[in-house]
Amino acid sequence: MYPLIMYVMVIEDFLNEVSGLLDEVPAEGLSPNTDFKSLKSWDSLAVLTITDSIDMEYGVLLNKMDYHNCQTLQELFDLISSRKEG
Amino acid sequence: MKQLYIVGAGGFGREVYNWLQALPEAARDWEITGFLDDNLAVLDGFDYAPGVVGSAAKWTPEYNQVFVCGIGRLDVKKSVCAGLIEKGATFLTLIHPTALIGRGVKLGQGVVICPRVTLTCDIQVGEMAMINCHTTVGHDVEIGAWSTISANCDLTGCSRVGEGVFIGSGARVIPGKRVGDGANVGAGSVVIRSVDPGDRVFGNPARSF
Repeated sequence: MYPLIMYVMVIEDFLNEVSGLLDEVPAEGLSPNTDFKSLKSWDSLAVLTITDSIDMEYGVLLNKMDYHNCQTLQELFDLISSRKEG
Repeated sequence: MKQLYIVGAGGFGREVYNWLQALPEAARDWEITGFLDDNLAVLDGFDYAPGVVGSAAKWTPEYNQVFVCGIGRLDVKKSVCAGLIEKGATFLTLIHPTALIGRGVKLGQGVVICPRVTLTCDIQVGEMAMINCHTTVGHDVEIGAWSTISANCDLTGCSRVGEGVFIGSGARVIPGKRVGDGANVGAGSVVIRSVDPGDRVFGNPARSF
């Protein structure tokens, strides 16, 4: 259906998606610079939910070290983008 | 004595017949007068007197008649029972005596609560919903009208189930998550993120499919 159009990942969509998965975090409360691991609702369930959602949405399966190596949502987003292309 | 008809004589209808027998005599102002089912032969070979006495679709409710929902399948339940309600039928709310029910639990008309269900406290269940055996429903849960919650499910605290939702056997919803109207949650699923209205999810963690 979409032979010539490449799906482009957009950071705004990614932020919306992450906010929808975290409890009590409105989309406007997140920015590319957000240190996501310092969010109050960041816990093991958040890791599981976001890992599974990213796998479902972008076909990229993140591991524990990926979260360890990223500090901001922008870094996480860039990592997913690079894996998706690679 | 009112005449009580069990709507649907399939598997769940037969279960409802059994659960009705468990109610204390003193609590009954009705007598089981028969099953209503479009398939008049569905109870052949079973011992469920007085058997199927008519078709639900063609039935016209009378003032001294009450009904109880014995249909598990959502689409069939909705079409058959909504038809009877439109014609003025009153559906009994059936609560098996072994169900454990705390404070502030509000059950809509026509709800069926099966054996050993636990409804902890401050729970709302919409009309014509059904909760099957051994399911546990936590505090502050809301379950919408017409929904079917199968056996051995776990709806944890503050989770919300919409209208006309089917939740398969042994599924779990973690605290605070929502299952949208008309959604379908497959057996054994673990819902860790909210399910959109009309979506079908399955697995652990539950995913759309």
